[in-house]
Amino acid sequence: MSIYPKYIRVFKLGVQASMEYRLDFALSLISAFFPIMIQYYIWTAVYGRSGSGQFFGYTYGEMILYTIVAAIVTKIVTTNMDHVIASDIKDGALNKYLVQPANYFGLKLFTMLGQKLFFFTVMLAVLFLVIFYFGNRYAIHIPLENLVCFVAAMALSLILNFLISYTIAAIAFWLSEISYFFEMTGLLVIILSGGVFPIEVFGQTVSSLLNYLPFKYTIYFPSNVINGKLMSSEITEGLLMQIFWIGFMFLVSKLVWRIGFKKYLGLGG
Amino acid sequence: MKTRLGTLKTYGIIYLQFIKNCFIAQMEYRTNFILGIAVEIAYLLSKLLYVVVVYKSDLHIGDIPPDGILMFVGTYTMMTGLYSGLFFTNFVRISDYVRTGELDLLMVKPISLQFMVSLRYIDLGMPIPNLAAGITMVSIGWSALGIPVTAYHLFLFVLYLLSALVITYCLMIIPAILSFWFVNTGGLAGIFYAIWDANNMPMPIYPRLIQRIGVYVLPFLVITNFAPLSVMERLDGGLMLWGAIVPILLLVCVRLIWRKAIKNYSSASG
Amino acid sequence: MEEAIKVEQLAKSFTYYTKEVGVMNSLKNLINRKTLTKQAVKDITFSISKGEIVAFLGPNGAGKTTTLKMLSGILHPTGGSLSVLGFKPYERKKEFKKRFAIVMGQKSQLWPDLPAAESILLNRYIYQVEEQTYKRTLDELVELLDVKHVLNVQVRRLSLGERMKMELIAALIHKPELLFLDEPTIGLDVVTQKRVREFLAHYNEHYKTTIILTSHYMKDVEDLCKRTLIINDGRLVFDGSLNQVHGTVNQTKIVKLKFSQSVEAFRLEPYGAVRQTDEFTATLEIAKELINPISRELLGLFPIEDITIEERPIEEVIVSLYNRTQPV
Repeated sequence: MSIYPKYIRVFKLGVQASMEYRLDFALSLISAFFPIMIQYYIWTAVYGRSGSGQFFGYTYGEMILYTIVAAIVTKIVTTNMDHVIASDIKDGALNKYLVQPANYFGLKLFTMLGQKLFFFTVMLAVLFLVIFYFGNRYAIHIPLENLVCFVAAMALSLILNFLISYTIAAIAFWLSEISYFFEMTGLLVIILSGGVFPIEVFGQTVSSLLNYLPFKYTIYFPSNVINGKLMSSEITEGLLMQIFWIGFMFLVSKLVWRIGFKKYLGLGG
Repeated sequence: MKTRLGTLKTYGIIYLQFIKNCFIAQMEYRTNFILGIAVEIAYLLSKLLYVVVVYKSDLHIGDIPPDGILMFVGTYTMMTGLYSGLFFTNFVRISDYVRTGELDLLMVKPISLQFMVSLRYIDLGMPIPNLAAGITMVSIGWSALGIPVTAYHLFLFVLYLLSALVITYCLMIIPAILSFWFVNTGGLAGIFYAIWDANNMPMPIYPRLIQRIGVYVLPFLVITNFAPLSVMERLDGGLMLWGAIVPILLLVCVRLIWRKAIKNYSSASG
Repeated sequence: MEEAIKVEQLAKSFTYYTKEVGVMNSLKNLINRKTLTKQAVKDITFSISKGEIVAFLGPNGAGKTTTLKMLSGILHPTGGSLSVLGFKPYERKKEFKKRFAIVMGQKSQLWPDLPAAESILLNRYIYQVEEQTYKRTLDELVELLDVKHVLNVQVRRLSLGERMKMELIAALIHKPELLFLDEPTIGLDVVTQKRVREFLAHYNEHYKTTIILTSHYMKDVEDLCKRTLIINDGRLVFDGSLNQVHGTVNQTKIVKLKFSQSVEAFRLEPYGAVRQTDEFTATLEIAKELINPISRELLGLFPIEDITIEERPIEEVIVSLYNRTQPV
């Protein structure tokens, strides 16, 4: 019972920390604008030249909307938690969590949620403006239920992405040089999640392979919920898959962390 | 003249010493060295996705075919490699020098402080994947377009690469120099990296206004467009000249800002 | 004697901004920032001859390091004049930079991932030292400081003392005429401190190098420097030898008493300031000229088993000097 206030406290601390980095956040929004711009012109050139209305299974409007939404979703769901957690493991900060009743996983999850609350709200507002504007412009009609599903999908993808980071961060139990490592994994995860281009771009083989991995449910799926590409049955299926992957990754992370912890304690004593 | 050459020789010897130092230090930490390369490969992959899109959708920009676009992407990749190898580490450290006061010890050396601060560290691993991939792409594009391999064409290409290197130095050092005045310039640096990536595609893909700004105001677009454009003979006389003048102009500007920054440091810091 | 350094009415003030937290205040600051001025050094005048070893002493934030930084050209003074080896340091001329060196105990010019030999070699090229001279100087310094065996070891793996010795070698490789040392013995063990002091004394004697150091350790100053400049609150409050400090400022001595029977503290109060008492011991501070009569009186009045008379510890004297803001 008494552990819940603890989670609320770290949640609040997370919110405060995020408020301190408002300027960084604003600037990072500006820098997020450039890749969107580049891709916008690429797709405009691609679609402008060809008579056919579809590339990689997307119409022009869907593709532009995907590009914008995916960039924003990437900003929302990516956390630097793997860095933080890994350095906790490395510098021994994990020790103090071994004796605290509230467990480390919960603390980190709620810190992350607290940090994201502010961004999440701002970004959702930005996103809805974008959708409203482009929806009208490209005559894409987005039903209200898609919007609701999108918010749900985003929340789930935030948690799923956290679980992925949390699992990857456990590598710090085994690897001594970690600073570069997470930069690499982070980028690969974004690519595989469809944060750069929709995964159809990778070709038939790779994208069907990605169906058996959790990544596409963090960026690719929510982005397609909102650009109107998915049917409502596909959306429901996707949401269920997100829940499945959350459960699956939760178990995987537990397992990996248990093995890692054994090694950690073995070193300590 | 003789003393000029003498100074140049001194700096050359010191720069070789820098390279030697960096090599020894990086060999001490081989895992880091290899992981650095791995990270660059990951970035490279994300950039190569653009190439995939270009070929799969048979993208033509104006009358530049996919093979032509490949030359631009290749040049961009090479420049990214050079930037990460020669400048990146140094520029990241500048704000640390200011914050920790480590600059003090560099200021008393009888050698150009700007040289010491901005060129001290050379990363020998990180640029490998980008340079290799970049050179490959340029070569493929070059031969696919049937551009003759003459001394003149090679000279042009290398000349504009050198010009690009100087421009890169000047533009990317600006956020770092601003850290003499502002505590946190990470956000601005992030914006500069994002603009840098606009070079991933040939500039004719952008509207006229953006091209003008990118060539004349913040000459980012000069960096990777002029070398391939020149060998494709798509660069008119005026732009060719501009491509040669810009680096000099920028060097002068950066030099002035640098002086101002140091002046500010020695009168304002504690 | 020829002058190495001449400083007149040197002053340095910094401006800084107040910063309040909160969005509104940040906006307010953008438009109208409150500037505050801090005077780190106010009106300091002194001169130092070639070959002297001089210490700058003073509490943290007194202006020692700021003065040192102005002398080495890192900081630009805001007032007064200074001349070092005939140069104006803040012009930062190459010829000037080649003639001095600075070592800061808190900062390193050695690259931690490399053997010290590499960083020293780099300095050879930067200072353009002839190969023959370089070899001779290096051999000699390595010999004197006894670090030959660790010259090719990664600096990261060296002990603090070895690292400081390497810093000294890197700084002295171009045979500077003037050496600034900012807290050179900070964090070192007593033996190494002594070793470094001996080295500096020897080096000064041998090469007539002018040495200026700041330190917290009184021992550094007592052993090395015939002359001490005490700086407090940006002002020079004392210029002379430390022995003189005892003379001019130190007008009292410490008398320690040991009793065979318990003595009540208040009975001692008339004879001097009581610093410490318990039943069988007491420490009194007594004016120098009264020591003889008072101690005789005490011996007569109290059951004294043992009496010792000591000088006040130098640290304490300095502290009382720090509290002054006017020159002696």
